[in-house]
Amino acid sequence: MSDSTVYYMDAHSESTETALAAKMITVFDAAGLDEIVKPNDIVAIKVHCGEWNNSAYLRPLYARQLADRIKELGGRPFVCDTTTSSYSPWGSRTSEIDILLTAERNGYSSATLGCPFICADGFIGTSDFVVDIPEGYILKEAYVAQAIAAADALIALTHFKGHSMGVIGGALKNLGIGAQSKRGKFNVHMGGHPTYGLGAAGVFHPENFKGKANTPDWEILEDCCPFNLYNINENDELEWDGDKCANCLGCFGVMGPRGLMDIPPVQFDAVDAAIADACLGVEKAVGRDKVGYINMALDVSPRCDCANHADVPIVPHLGVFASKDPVAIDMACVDKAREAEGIKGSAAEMMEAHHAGDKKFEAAAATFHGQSEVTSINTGHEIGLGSRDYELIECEPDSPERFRFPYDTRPSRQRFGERFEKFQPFPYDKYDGKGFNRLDVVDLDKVKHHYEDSPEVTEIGESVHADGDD
Amino acid sequence: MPQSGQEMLDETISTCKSLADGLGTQNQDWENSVVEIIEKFEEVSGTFFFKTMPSVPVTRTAMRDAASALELKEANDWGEMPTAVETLIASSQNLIEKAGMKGTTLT
Repeated sequence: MSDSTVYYMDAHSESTETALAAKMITVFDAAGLDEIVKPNDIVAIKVHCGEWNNSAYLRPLYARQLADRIKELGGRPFVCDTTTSSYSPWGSRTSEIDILLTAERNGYSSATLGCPFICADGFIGTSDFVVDIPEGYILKEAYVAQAIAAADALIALTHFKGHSMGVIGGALKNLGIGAQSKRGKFNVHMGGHPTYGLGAAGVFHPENFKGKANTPDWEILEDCCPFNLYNINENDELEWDGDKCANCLGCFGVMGPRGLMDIPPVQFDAVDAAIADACLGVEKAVGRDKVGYINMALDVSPRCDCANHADVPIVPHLGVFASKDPVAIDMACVDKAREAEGIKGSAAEMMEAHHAGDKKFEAAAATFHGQSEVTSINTGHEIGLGSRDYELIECEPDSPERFRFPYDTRPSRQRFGERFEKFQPFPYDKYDGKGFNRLDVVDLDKVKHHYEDSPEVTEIGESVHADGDD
Repeated sequence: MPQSGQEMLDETISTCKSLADGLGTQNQDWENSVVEIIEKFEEVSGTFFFKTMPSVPVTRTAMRDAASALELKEANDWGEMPTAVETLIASSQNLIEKAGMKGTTLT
């Protein structure tokens, strides 16, 4: 595939037209994503609505701004996410009712978005559309969330950050995992795979189970699996029916640390490759010329928004990106992160990978030693989904008028003059027209001074006191 | 490729063994502490935590603390040794606690 184009604006903001929400629309238009939307098109905006208590996910403002732009273009937008696999025994987005409650708590609702927020793969995650992908590197079919497959156009609005399994969480993962139904996720996560699935590659260590009596929370060993594949038998032995493992990941955090399951890193590598295949499946379901990508590389946390926490970002905000190529846009973000200095105190510094040029996601985001931050990108390149070779075009800000408060575009006197006369907010009739009861002059230097900095402080304080001014 | 958590732990155990060797001639408590650290590290060696990247920072701290203590021993600098052993005990305890991976979610 030939070079692709990625449109970009940095994260600095000092005016109406350089607000990040404004920049997002500027790059959206520059990349020609506005041309994807035709009048009356149903347009899916795929976001990650954030796990319970995650705080790094994209503010709903961006989805709202994009939905408004799609409406301007004549489209009918909806914002969506999908049910997750039961990757934690206490996940907050595993069913439709759970994800809608979590999304609403995180600010994603029709009230904030100006359009519906929906769970795209149905109540339990089985509402999907199967797509053949003979070009796939490892997958040969994908199970695309029905509402996304049914849309006329799709914009992947992605929070670019790290991910413990994908190493990066970018555009490819937003669709390669996030736009798959629950069973689509089992497919991508290698459930039942004869080589890379946990059932095949995982090494179960029942000998490390110390018995119910010595395991106060033994019930979680059975309860972590929604497929009921773990059982403590009448002889007080832990059993696992690995052949039926769907790779929901629910037992990873329970079994791994206790030495009961040896999770093979190669499984993660295979998933990372499959992510690109599944992303191609989404493009094929919607139409390859009907999908656009926006990456907001802000709050670049080491862990994904599917974690129930958010760590210190590993690099400063990188900027706002748009492209028709998911491979190129993710590569551009990885390159920007590599160029950047890491943030002091972040996981990048703790891993000593905070220097410009360091592969920060491999050090600070990956679960296993040896995972690569470009596996999904390289796979996407190999299968013709996109190109890792790209041209980065820096966009100029658009006009400020475009991004002002839209509901009343008149300036202040026209908007408020009569109302202020009627409901005067400034009491001109008090204190000789000065309005309020205040001292005429105070010593502002006294309260501006950094008292902890130098011994001169006392002298200043004393001199002020001597003057009788305090 | 940078050292993995497991490789760092192996190096730490090896350093601690060199540190413990004959340390009792100066102070038996120091040697007992370091021997106990070695035993604990050998217990957790090979577990899941040390295959993960999050094991790297805490293991590296213990590895460096062990190396600093060994350097003092080799230089016969016994004045600084009490602090060095205390520091090593603290970072080792932290590492052993982290190896339990309480509350970890892998996605």
